[in-house]
Amino acid sequence: MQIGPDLSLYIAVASVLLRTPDDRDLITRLQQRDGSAMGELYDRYGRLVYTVVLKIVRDPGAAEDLVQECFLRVWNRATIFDAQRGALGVWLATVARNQAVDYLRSVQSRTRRDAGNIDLERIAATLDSAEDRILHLTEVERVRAALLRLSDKQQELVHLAYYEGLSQSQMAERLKQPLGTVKTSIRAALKKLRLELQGPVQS
Amino acid sequence: MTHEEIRDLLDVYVLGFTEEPENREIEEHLPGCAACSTFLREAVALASAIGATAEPVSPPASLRRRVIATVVPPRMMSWPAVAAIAAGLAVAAWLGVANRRQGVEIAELRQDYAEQTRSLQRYESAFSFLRDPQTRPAGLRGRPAAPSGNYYTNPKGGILLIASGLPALQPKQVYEMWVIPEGQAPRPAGVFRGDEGGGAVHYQPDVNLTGAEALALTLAVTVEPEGGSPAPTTTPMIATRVTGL
Repeated sequence: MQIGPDLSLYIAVASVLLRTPDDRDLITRLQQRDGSAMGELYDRYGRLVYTVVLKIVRDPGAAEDLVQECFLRVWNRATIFDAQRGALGVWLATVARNQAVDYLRSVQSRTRRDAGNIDLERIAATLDSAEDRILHLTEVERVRAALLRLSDKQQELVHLAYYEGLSQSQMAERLKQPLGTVKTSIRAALKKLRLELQGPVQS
Repeated sequence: MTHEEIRDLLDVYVLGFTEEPENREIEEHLPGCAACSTFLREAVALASAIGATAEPVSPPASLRRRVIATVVPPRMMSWPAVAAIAAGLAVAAWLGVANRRQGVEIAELRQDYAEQTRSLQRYESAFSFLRDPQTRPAGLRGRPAAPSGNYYTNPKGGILLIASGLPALQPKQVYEMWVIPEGQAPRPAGVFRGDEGGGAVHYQPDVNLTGAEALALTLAVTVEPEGGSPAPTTTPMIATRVTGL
């Protein structure tokens, strides 16, 4: 695989999916501990965070608690966010998914997957947002369409990995398939998703 | 693993799908490899894009207030004020909603009342934390003169402070609690206000500490601008060293 034209494409797509124009001002206020910015942050991303969390935990009560924790976490870690580059929505979606999957794993007494020495939330907070591209929210449809072009089996794998947070051995057990098969299939599914998303970004 | 093998795994690594020994190999490889790190960043973005495609669901309206209240505590009122509001509600109900204006007033009263209820819930959760047999005092500290206070900690996480003799706050100031793991910078542990006599109860339910950090730390309180600060800006009070939460 070489670093080619798709470099930062996914970042660009995700940034657009998850960004509104004056986030930069908002993050600056969050970093200055301006409490009034919290309401605005919630107004912009509350629905995204709630949607991701609810789809993972499937319990409205737990989802509300987790949404509260996610926003508190973002408030407490606001200084890691790179206001010049990052897309707030990417960061919030990453925090939301992490918190919800951690919760799901703890209530199901599954192994907690520690992020090791790589802080994915920090990466999400500093992604380049490819500001030269003029992109719109129609990109959501683009990613959705790309997901739909995966086979049913592949969609199920992506769902189990993203929304249920299953590790490879847990997924092999759930699907009653050999570990090697599961590993190969999901990598192929995500690779296909990447390929589907390649090409000129719609303006 | 080769660069290509590492890159092949990154999309699933960020989802927590991979296990050992791959994880260790990835985590050892990435810090020294800028090219593969770019693929990791793409993988993080791709994952968040998957989340963004979920059919949106609107959260309940009450959640907005809860989220904001975590960083901007609702204004505290005294018991007589609560009673006055309750009486106000009763009177308003008795008069009937004769016109729009009254309706608005009632809505405002209801809102104040709901805020009070939330304040009481915060106290209740603090007291239920106190009743837990595993909750114990972390030490009695502060100089003999005011301010002073007791911290209560629990192995399951959470710190409760009952303080007295706190200096009066100026408008747009709050107290902020700090957790300072040994050898590290202070971390914010919530902002709060007190009563007129300098007393305050602050309960911080989630304090994210690693096992090592929980072994030795200091708890303290400072006065900060409204909303709290990322690092203390005034002299710490009620600083208490804790060994093992």
